[in-house]
This record gives sequence, C-alpha cells and structure tokens, in this order.
Amino acid sequence: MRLGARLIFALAATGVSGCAMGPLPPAQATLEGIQSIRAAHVAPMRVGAFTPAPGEATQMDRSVSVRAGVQSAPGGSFAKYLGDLLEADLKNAGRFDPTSDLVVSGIVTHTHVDSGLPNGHAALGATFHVTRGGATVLDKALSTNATWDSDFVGAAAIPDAFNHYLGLFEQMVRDLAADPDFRAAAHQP
Amino acid sequence: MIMTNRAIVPRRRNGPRALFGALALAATILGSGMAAAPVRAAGYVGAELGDVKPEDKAVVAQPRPVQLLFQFCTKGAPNGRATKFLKSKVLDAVKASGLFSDVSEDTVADGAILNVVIDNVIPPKAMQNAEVSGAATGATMFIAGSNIWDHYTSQLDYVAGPDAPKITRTAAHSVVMQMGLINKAPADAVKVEGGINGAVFTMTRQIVENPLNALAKDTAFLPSANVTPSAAPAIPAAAEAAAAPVATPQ
Repeated sequence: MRLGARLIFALAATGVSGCAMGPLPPAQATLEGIQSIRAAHVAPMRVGAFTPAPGEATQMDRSVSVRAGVQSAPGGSFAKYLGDLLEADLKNAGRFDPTSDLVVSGIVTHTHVDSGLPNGHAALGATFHVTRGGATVLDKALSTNATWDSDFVGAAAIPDAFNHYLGLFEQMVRDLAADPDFRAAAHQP
Repeated sequence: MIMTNRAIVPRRRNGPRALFGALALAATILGSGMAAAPVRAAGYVGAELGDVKPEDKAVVAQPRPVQLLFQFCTKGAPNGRATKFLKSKVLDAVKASGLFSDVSEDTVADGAILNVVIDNVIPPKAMQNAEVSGAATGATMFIAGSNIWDHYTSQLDYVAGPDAPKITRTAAHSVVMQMGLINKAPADAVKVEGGINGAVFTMTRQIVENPLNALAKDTAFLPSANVTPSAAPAIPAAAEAAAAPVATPQ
C-alpha cells in the first residue's frame, strides 16, 4: 500500500499534520546487523564521534527535505544516528566495550534523497576510521544507495523517500560489518 | 530488509489508491475537515489468520527469556514512526504467547533473539481496481462506498543463542477499511471493534502470534526440545499458504 498504511498510521497515530514529519524513534539494533557483527569476529570496541563532512552532509545533518516534507534527524544529527546504529548492533552482539582502545568513528561524506518520477533515489557515503591504541588501522570509505518507484502523490512519495533514506543507515552498518578490511582491522587478537 | 512476498495470494480488490482518491477529492471539495470522516469508518481484518486456537497453542515446558526486536517496514523500507506506533502491541502479543519467561528489548542471558518484521506490501494487481472505486467514492461525497484492502506480511526469525541456527516463519494478513455511506461488509473479512486502530492492532496481534506459534513448534526452537507440539496445524489451513516455514541457514 502506498497510501493505505501510510495514511492509517499518519492519521491514526500522529494525526494529519503539515509538512514536518513526526519524530523518529532512536536507533535500534537489527537482527541482520547483530548477526553481521557476530560473524565478523571483531574485538569489543567503542564508538567514537560520527560527524558530517563540511558542505552538503553538514547542511543535511539536522534534517532532510523531500518536496514539501521535512524530516528531522533522530537525536538531532543523521551522522550521530549512524554511530548510534552501529553502537546498538555492537552492544547487542556483545562487541561493545566503552573502555576499549579499539575505536571506530565516522564522517558522513555524502548524503542525498529525492522523490523524483518515476524513481526516487537516496544515497549515503561515509568514511570510517578505526584506531587501536591511538594508531590508525583503517580508513575506509563506503557508500550505499537505493532506488524505488516513487509516487506522484506527495502524501505517498514523501514518507516513502524518508523511509528509504533512513534504511540506508542500517545498510551502511551492515556493509561495514561485512567489509573484509574492517574485519581485518578490528579482528579479535 | 529481506522480505518475501511469495506468501501473498493476489486478489483483485480495492487498494490504497481508492483511499487516496476518495480523500483527495473530498478534501479538495469539502475542505480538510472531511478527511477525518473515513478514519472513523468501520475496520475489518482479513479472515485468513484469526486468533490462535487454545488447542493449537504450542506449550513450552521451560520457557526462557528472549530479546525482542521489531521493525515495521513499508514496501521493504524501515518505517520508524509505524515501528514506534506498534511496538507495544507486538511486545504484548509475544508476551501473551507464554512461550518465553521474559520478553525484553535488551540482550538476555542466553542470547536468544526474536526478530519480528511486519511489512506493508502491495500485492500484484492490487492497485488495478483502486483508482476507479476510490474516485467513485470521492466523487459522490462518500455516499458510494469502497472497501480498501491493505496487505501485510510478517517474518519472524528466532535464534536460540549466538551460535544457534536461525529459524523463520512468515505470514500474510490484511486490513480492510470501509469508506462511504452505502457499503457492504467485505467478503472474507471479520469486523473488529475500534475502527481503523482496532483493525491495525488486531492485524498486528494475529500476524505475530500465528507464525510465532508455528515457530515454537519447530524442533530448533529450543535445543532441549521442551515444546509440546499440538497435533493440529499451527496456523489455520486457509492461511497455511501465507505462513510458510522458510529454510534460512545463517
């Protein structure tokens, strides 16, 4: 349903509102993310700063717009949201240690979302840094994107675009966990 | 998000565009106040699942704790707002199953995880009839009725521990909204109290509890196999095609 559930939830849960979308829940772990990290056999690590790169990523860090719709970032920053997602999966996989000298941090370098016709597009790029005892052991750029059938009607197209855009953050965490360079750099000694 | 739509049986019914057509036209003509009227319309759920019968319920001799993860998706994309809206209902359904000693959003001692994903999907051809009936409802100021079918699939994955194999069950369900003053009860649907909210909550409970019950009858559900499977099928026969076990090696 492009519109059925969207309207059900929009009307029943949040009420008919203007262009600003309701707040999103905080980052939560996913089974795929947890299993990816478990399979990576990485050492327990802590999560450092996740920040946007200057320019477009910074401009879109607090909120993103699609047509007349505006979606605020969970927790006020999409870059931080990426770090929060990673931390949630690490915690649930038993690979999070706030005292570890193994630290993963990230910079969101590219971000994009549109609801063009006939297809909407979203893209996310980030560079991940892994340090061990203060020494850099990984600098890795990853990117992911999504394309979907976009509706002409904004009431359907706008939330659809935001959903796909936010899905990229989960995908990015899974991509990192599956990345052989990350696994090698963060391996359990 | 991996979701399979193979369990959905395509049906030629009204779809979401009908709702939009009606809403858009009515709102255009009568103003936004009219848009609230359809929300108060009667709510139905498809008859394909129903509640798990007491005699069909799996019984676990020694329930163990589980961590519950839930995500609502729209056409495969995570929908954070709907996830937030329905999370407590999913939690209630899992707790009510009695299959676990505790259901937590945090990690549990044995590392058991139950992952629930409900996806709002568009079955093939579901949109075909929608524009016509939706436009008719809107054009007649909500006098001519429409039944709006909204389709959902669920996938439940369970891992008993960090190294345990993943077992999966799926199901399909639907919610029906009635629009307009002159309408007939939809066939193959059950009216529920509470209008649209009631229908969504009932769908959520049933699309979780049915595959969960089937999951608990899998020998891999508990390594000690302390489940008492019923002789009856886990899911009503009419929904068997929609709630199929899936071989999902890790």
